[in-house]
Amino acid sequence: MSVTAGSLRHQVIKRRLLRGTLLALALFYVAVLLVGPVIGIGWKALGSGFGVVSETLQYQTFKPRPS
Amino acid sequence: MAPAIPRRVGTRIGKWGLRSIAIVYLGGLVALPISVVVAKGFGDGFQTFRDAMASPGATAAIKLTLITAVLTAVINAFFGTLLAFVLVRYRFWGRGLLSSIVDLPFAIPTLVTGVMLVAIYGPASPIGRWLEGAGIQVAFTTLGVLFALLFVTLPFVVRTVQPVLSELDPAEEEASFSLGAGGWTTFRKVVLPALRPAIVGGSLLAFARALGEFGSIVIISANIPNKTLTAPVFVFQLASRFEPEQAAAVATLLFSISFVLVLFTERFLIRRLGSK
Repeated sequence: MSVTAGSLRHQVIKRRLLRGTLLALALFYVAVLLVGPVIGIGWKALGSGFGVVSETLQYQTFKPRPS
Repeated sequence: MAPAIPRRVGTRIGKWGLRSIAIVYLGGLVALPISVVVAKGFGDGFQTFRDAMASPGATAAIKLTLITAVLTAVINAFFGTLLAFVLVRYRFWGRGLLSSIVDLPFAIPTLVTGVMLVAIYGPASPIGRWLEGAGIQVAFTTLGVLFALLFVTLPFVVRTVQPVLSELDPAEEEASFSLGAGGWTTFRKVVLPALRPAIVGGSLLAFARALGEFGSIVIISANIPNKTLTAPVFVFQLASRFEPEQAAAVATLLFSISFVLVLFTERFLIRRLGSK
């Protein structure tokens, strides 16, 4: 009885460990490959404040660079 | 009263009509542009192609494109399947968000992908500087090219494998467990054979997409001949230098490789695996 309970607990731990590992691996891959760059561009764009963003947009749209 | 056109004739007209529309659409949209590119590139035999390949960095560009495309297909075959498995089989907080994030590359223009990768892994960012300190340079290297291709092609594998995995009958796995097989054996002998055609199909899509990727690569790679210049960027450079024949010749080589590989794999691999 105790052997069965022990092996059952062992199986549950093993399954949880596997689930945790797979989940961590998937989340790590998505974080490095997809989320990281999105945060990177947001940080780069807004790092110097909204003023730079609006200035860039105004400059590109309404004030063409003088030749 | 008998109908003016007998039903059998009407059905036949309908069938041929639909078939003709499909053929005309496919011909105009796919076959015609391809034949024009082939005619332009190989109009005078292989001379134009030889001239294009004599340009500095041409062979290296094609080699780099093939190597990175194969690596992309293999890496994303593994991680794409893993992601699909996690999304289908596990219930956890943020699962919906993760599923949406997987589709990001479909929504983001590829040029923006290149800018994003430079923003996070470029020498001006803290992460880029930290990686460089550790001896790993991502931006403007082959690794950067690989990163961009992995980013762009990930959803192809995930979204091909995911529906097949959700359609799998759990009874087969339960039967395997009840016969005493462990988790790994069940995955290897029951789940994986059923998923294999989808994994191969998704990887092929990823490979074909990686072979032609331009937008993200042109930003992240810095296009250094013999180092980080890829074939699609090389084709663009040829076209910009007003050498459309040479551009067409290299483009023909690229899509021929892709087409032959896809055709071969579809014909032999998927059919064989599907019949098992």
